Amino acid sequence: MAAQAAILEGPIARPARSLGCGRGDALVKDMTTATMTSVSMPADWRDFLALTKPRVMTLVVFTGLCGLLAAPGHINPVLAFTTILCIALGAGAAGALNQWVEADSDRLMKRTANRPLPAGRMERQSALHFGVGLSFFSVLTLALATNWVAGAILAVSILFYVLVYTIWLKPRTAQNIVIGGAAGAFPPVIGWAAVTGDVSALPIALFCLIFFWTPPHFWALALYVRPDYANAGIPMLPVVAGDTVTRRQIWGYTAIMAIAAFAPVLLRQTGALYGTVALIATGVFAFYAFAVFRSRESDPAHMRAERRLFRYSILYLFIMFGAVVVDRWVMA
Amino acid sequence: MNDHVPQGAPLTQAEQDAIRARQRSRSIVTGLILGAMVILFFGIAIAKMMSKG
Repeated sequence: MAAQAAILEGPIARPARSLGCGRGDALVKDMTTATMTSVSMPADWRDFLALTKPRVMTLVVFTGLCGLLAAPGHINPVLAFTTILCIALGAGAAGALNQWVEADSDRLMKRTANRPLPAGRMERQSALHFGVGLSFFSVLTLALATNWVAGAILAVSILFYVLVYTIWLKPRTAQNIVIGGAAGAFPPVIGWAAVTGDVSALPIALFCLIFFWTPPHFWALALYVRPDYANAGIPMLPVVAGDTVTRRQIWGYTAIMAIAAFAPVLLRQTGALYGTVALIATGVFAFYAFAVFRSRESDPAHMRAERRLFRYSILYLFIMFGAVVVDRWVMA
Repeated sequence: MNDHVPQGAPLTQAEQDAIRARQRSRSIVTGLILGAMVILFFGIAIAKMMSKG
């Protein structure tokens, strides 16, 4: 029994698919469901990867890379790679800790029910250890490879996301993502700080752009997944204040975001190239946001304008940050 | 949900094989990550020495 205990992840009953069905394990597939549900399995490495929310990480890595590339000065390519890796790992650690905290509410939402913890494929403590370990590793590695300013900002961003957003704000207030959005706005500042060792006007402007972009981005999604949030008891704005207020807030924050989008030009940190791209891309964003503001659709299944704004908002950030980098290089 | 293997009940061969396969894949991934870390820290050390030189 000692040998058995050593090879088991923990005494948890697991659903059939948690044993790796569909991942090509013929022997597992041959087992009957009755047998499969009775055995605890070590969590698969893919489940640890899923804890890090790899899809969300794409935007974090890209904005961090742009912050690094837009910064004045030179950084060794190996250290640049390490910076981006640490930003990605830090984001992954925050994602893992977020899933550790929200395992119960994730179980209630269709969008998140198949995550490793709510689906029962992993013990909760494993996610905690993984998240904490990854946090320390990413922060210390970044600090030692580049400088302690970058390391400190990465640490603050992880703590902000987990403590301020996930634990404090998200279950308590409909303004959760407004303030919590700051956590996602740190990567370009970290990238910049890794090169320069300080924080100046442009990274703060980029921080503000992501900060004010977050509410329209998230609320567009929240409008059409409102039933999910309501089921989980998460006070997202559409659940608490209704669709009309949410649409008005999306439009209001889009206006503030537009000002933030032009801040790099007004601060003379970028030139005409970025200004032109910002004008067009922000104009399209405003057009889609206005369509959401005007929409009176109440059935989440038919909210086309909201889905369109959500999808475009992701592309928008890629365009804007790409334009910052190209413009800075052209100016240089 | 209380359908764990009873204390002392032996695992079937298929169950043991499935667990071993899962452990093997985790070990391989862990090994690859450790190897990548060695290369990464070697690279960081060289880069830091070059920047000081």
